[in-house]
Amino acid sequence: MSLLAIQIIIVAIAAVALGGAIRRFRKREMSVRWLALWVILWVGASVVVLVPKTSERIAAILGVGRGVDVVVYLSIATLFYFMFRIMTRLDRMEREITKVVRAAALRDSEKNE
Amino acid sequence: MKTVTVIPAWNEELVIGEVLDGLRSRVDEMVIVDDGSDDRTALIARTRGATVVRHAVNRGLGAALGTGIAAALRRNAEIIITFDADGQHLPDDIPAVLAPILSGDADIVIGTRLRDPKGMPPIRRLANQIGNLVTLVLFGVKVTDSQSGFRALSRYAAERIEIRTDRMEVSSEILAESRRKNLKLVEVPIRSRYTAYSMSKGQSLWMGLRTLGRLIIHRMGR
Repeated sequence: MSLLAIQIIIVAIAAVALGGAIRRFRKREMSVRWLALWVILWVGASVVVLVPKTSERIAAILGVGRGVDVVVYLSIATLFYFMFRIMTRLDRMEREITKVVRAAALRDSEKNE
Repeated sequence: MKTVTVIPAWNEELVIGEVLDGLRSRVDEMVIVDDGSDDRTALIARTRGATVVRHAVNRGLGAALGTGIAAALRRNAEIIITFDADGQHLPDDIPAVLAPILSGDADIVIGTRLRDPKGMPPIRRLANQIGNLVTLVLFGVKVTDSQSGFRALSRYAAERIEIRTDRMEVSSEILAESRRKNLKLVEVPIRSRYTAYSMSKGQSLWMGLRTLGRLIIHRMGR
């Protein structure tokens, strides 16, 4: 089996991303849940890239025309999901920062009197 | 009735002293919320007899108003006036803005610049009208100046309005909240000074668009 350049590149990226995730997990910077998610995502991507038939099978099950399309649709859906999560979390963090800043401001102003 | 003015200020050292001097005789207390200024805003405010509440880092207009209202309530304010720090409002308008609350006709009063928008630059007027339309469509509140920073709130209203947004969208949020909490809202015409300084501190179109975006997100989150 000869590999296409694109296959080598994507698998290499997956390997680097996985390596990084495992390193961060070891340093306890990443939870098991996130590690599992990354492993599934990147191993899945590698499998689909190396064995294109898998995506075709999924496409057939889902009723989408081509295997490549399935990958694109799922990728976009996943990206949107993560973007939404990050936005809501950012929003919550902002509100929490304001709460902390406000509490400190009120306390200091009363102390100064 | 103890009236406390809340003035959110961010890097306003050039005008804050003058604004406070104009307000002093009109209210019982002045609370400056220094929203993480890098300049001498807090120092000047303190020497002019204001209580300074200082945010360690800049959190935006909404956050500063929330802090100021909380501080005023702790200081037993019975009426809270919010006033811009850039010198665009006239302290002489305070009695008119207070009147509907004193007479019991309103829980919250908005000082509107647009009943008589003389001197307001056309682009500013257009931006304000868009702001009013957005406030009407998103929150169902019809006012002539949704973005005004000159307001009066009874203690009853101030205790009920929950400010959750940090930035410029707070003006619309306060209106939305007064509707949600069934507060009586009255608009009173005020005059404005459009100095070169207040214009330079004003909102750009880009900021307006960002505010619009955050308002829509805020509405969806409700």
